[in-house]
Amino acid sequence: MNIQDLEHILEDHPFVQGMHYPHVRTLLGCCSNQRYSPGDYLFRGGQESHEFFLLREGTVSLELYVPQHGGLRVETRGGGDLLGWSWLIKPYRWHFDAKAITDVATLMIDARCLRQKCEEDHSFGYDILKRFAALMVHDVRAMSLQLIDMHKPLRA
Amino acid sequence: MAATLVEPPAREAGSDVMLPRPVRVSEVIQETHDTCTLRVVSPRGEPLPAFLPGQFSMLYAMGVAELPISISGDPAIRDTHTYTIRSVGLATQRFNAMRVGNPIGIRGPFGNPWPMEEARGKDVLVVAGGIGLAPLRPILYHVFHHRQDFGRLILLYGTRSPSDLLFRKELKRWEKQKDTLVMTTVDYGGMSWKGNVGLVTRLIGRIRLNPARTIAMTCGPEIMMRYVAYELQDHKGLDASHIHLTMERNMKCGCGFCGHCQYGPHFICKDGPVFRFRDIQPLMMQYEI
Ligand SMILES: Cc1cc2nc3c(=O)[nH]c(=O)nc-3n(C[C@H](O)[C@H](O)[C@H](O)COP(=O)(O)OP(=O)(O)OC[C@H]3O[C@@H](n4cnc5c(N)ncnc54)[C@H](O)[C@@H]3O)c2cc1C
Ligand code: FES
Repeated sequence: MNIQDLEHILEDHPFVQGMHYPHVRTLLGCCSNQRYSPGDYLFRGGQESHEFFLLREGTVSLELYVPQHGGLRVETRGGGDLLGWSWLIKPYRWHFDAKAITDVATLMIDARCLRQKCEEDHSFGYDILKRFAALMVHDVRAMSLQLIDMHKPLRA
Repeated sequence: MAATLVEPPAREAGSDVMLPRPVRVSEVIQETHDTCTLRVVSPRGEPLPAFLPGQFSMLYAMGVAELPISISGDPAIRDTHTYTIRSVGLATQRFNAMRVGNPIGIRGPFGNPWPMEEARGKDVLVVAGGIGLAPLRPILYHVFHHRQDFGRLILLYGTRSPSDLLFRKELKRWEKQKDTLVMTTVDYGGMSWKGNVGLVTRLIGRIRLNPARTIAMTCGPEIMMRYVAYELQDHKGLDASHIHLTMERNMKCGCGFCGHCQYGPHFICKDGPVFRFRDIQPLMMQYEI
């Protein structure tokens, strides 16, 4: 895939919606196109986290390994979603497994490259951080709603 | 099949709105472990009152209790009414134990319907949580009967687990319809479940909407609807006046006489159950209401 095609795909992803064009170009410099087949792992819990993913198509399952039980599916992510914020916070370690359950097309962002660019250009870094902060808040909110089990009749 | 919506006749105070009409169960469909769909007919087969998508009836389990239940069937079908009931307590358990031939009383239909006229020419986004798909199903029937009058139809449906999904065969059928997108998700899915896991609000992030030509209708747990509305407003740019939701409170009369269902300045049975998010947004965050 040439760089123009990659740029179009990146610009089309909700994560970069409204992003200043020079910042899109900077992000593009750390971006590559990746495909996975069902059963492939995008990353595994405990490993170092030096990338994140902008999902284009397909479904990825986030799983937690429970000893003597195996994988527990916590959530799935699909086209338009972002996957992974462990690259942002030291010690950069994944907490879940991410497994493709269908054919998956993603843009993979090299986090070493991105962390470097964020250090060099704080305006770019702040833009990225704001986008991640919004997504993290979103994730925490979703998780708390999942925890309270809102479908269960509330007993008085 | 006749497919036009028939306005229910206007009712006057003092008419027989408090008198249940006797019907009998003609079909029972066990949807899930705790939810069934009942079709009811008049004893002599005469048409039942016309209803609009989103309206409800007061259903009387003889000698037990009367409770509000939305009509979940096709508004174009006049000889039966369809109700989908989740068992949560005494009365709903009684309905879930019903068999073909059992008598029921119905009053209604009551309430403010989904804004189908306002939705004409627009993309229709339906977001359902759990049993909330039941009051929304008549919207889908109506749109499929009048496909040319509406733009894209998107159904986002979330339940607790895969075994709680309602209307499975229809979901598969709807998926195949033209200009229709159906996405389901569950809060908890086992490893054999190949579909989405996560809240229904997550699905909103994955769809493309044109906020100027989209009307959204949502029904489910109140917390879910609040987050759906915020998500649509904050992340998809929908105006609060284009988001509609249904509210539930305990009811007695079902038609604006007793005040039992008061919600701030509104009576849910008469001014709702379908409201514009814009009109009730401030109330939804008042804890004492
Ligand atoms: C306009 C309207 C339309 C409705 N449509 C439907 C429908 O199509 N299908 C359907 O299954 N239900 C519907 N309901 C809800 C239904 O009326 C109640 O579940 C029912 O009244 C409960 O009666 P019960 O005697 O079985 O339970 P109760 O003994 O009254 O309650 C048992 C337990 O369930 C809880 N509970 C009661 N109502 C609800 C509720 N609505 N949601 C969650 N928990 C509840 C109570 O807090 C209590 O702990 C609707 C309600 C309204 C107001
Ligand atoms: S239930 Fe009586 S006024 Fe609403």
